[in-house]
Amino acid sequence: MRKEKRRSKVGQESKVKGQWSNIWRKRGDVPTPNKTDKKEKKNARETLLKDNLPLFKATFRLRVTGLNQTRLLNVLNKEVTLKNIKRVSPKILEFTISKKESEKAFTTLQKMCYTYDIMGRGGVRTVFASCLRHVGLLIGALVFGAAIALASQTVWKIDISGNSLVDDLTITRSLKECGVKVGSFKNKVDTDVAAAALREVKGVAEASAELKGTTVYIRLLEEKNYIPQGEKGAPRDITSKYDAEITRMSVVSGTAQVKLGDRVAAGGVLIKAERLSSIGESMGYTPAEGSIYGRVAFKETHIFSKTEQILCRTGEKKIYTNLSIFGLDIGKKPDKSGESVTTEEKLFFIPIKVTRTEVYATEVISRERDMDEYVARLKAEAVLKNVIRAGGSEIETATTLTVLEGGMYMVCVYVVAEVLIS
Amino acid sequence: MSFFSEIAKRAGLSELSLSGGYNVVNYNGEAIYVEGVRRLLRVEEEEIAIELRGAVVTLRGAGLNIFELSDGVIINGRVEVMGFVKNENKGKVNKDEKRKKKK
Repeated sequence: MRKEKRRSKVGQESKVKGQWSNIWRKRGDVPTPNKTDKKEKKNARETLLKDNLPLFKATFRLRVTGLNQTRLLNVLNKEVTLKNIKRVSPKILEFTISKKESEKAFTTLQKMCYTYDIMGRGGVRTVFASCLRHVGLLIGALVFGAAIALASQTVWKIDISGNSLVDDLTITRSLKECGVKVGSFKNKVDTDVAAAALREVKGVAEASAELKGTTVYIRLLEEKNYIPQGEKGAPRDITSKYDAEITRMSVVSGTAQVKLGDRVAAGGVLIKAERLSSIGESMGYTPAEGSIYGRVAFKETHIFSKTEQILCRTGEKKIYTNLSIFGLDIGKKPDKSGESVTTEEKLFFIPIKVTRTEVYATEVISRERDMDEYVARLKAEAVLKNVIRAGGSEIETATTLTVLEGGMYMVCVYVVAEVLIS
Repeated sequence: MSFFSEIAKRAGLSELSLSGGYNVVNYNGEAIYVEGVRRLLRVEEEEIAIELRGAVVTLRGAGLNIFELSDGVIINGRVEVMGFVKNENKGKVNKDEKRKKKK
């Protein structure tokens, strides 16, 4: 009776299902696990990790339902090794067994009429399954690895030093002819051939080329009496960029053709690449080097009306995000009717560009111009454009405002400053 | 020679008396290793009782968990009290009684 009572629940199920006990008797057969919560399965996986079993050792995490757990453990202990035994409740017990011993464990559990579920599995299969769950990450890691490997085999930079008269463009052109350029494969770079080609360049006495990592280092020694050639083969003189009055001079080599206080036109020769005697006879060519400053006058004229039309944002905004992969654009093209702000992000080593465009709706508003503010702005712009960017100093400005017909105005901005004219 | 045999020899115990016996090692109250287990008597989070060959050991504490159960038993958790009750004749009496019954 007692035995029947204990088996009653299981026995009823077996009668209902009919072939349940027969299925269990088949060797190596594992009953389909019941549906369990995702949280419970996650806990089971975490517990498997804490078992301190080797990662690739195949294991099962079992949950057994039934009473008299101590008796069950004593019986199982004779057949198999149990790990991380956890008493979830007086009726539920969890433990881990190795796959090799699983058959013995299942047979024992069946004989004792305990219900069990497989909560989780450890081993190679689980490791691969977890990798497959993150396919994107795996692919990304592989692509990144391949890109790093490829990048480390190409030339990223060419470092040229030792040249002051021979320009970098001439050197890089010569290197390109030998197949040495940014982006070329390292195994195709022949440093001896490159050095030999550089020695053929005019003005280069000696050259060496070395490949370290992804950088090609070029070291040059220039000829002592080399004179850089300008157009038509003549040595290059230093000429003036502006119409100016000479205020400062510093000649390093060559012959000065102007003196302080002289007025020179734009294009006029300031320093000649030639050594002249006191009577003006040529004593040979020499590179022209030096700095000459002059006082230059700039003028800008602007014609405008009293009213100005400006675009104001209405407050409405739309955001467009586009992806570009190998020239293929994915995403809706932004509406260009309003003011747009675009930001681009390129993923390093992966040919994907993400473009985010914020389009602000605008409307045209007419308003009266603040004349003083506008004139001051024109003056500042003129100074910045003509003087500040040229490194000028001692700036003087003046403006004139003329009223024209039809409500129009004309502003002339005069800027006088000392700038480098050579 | 095993670790336990070495210690037993130094303690002056004979191999014969040790055979069929038990060993219990307490690792700083955080883990217990038990050899010579006959069966588990009680498994709870606060108490675990194990029948050994010739004794019963009771462990009391918190978070007690059987980490491994095979020839030896490894228990981890916070062990506060470890008690022994010796049952010298338990195994031998049963054998003797059986012989008498046969006779």
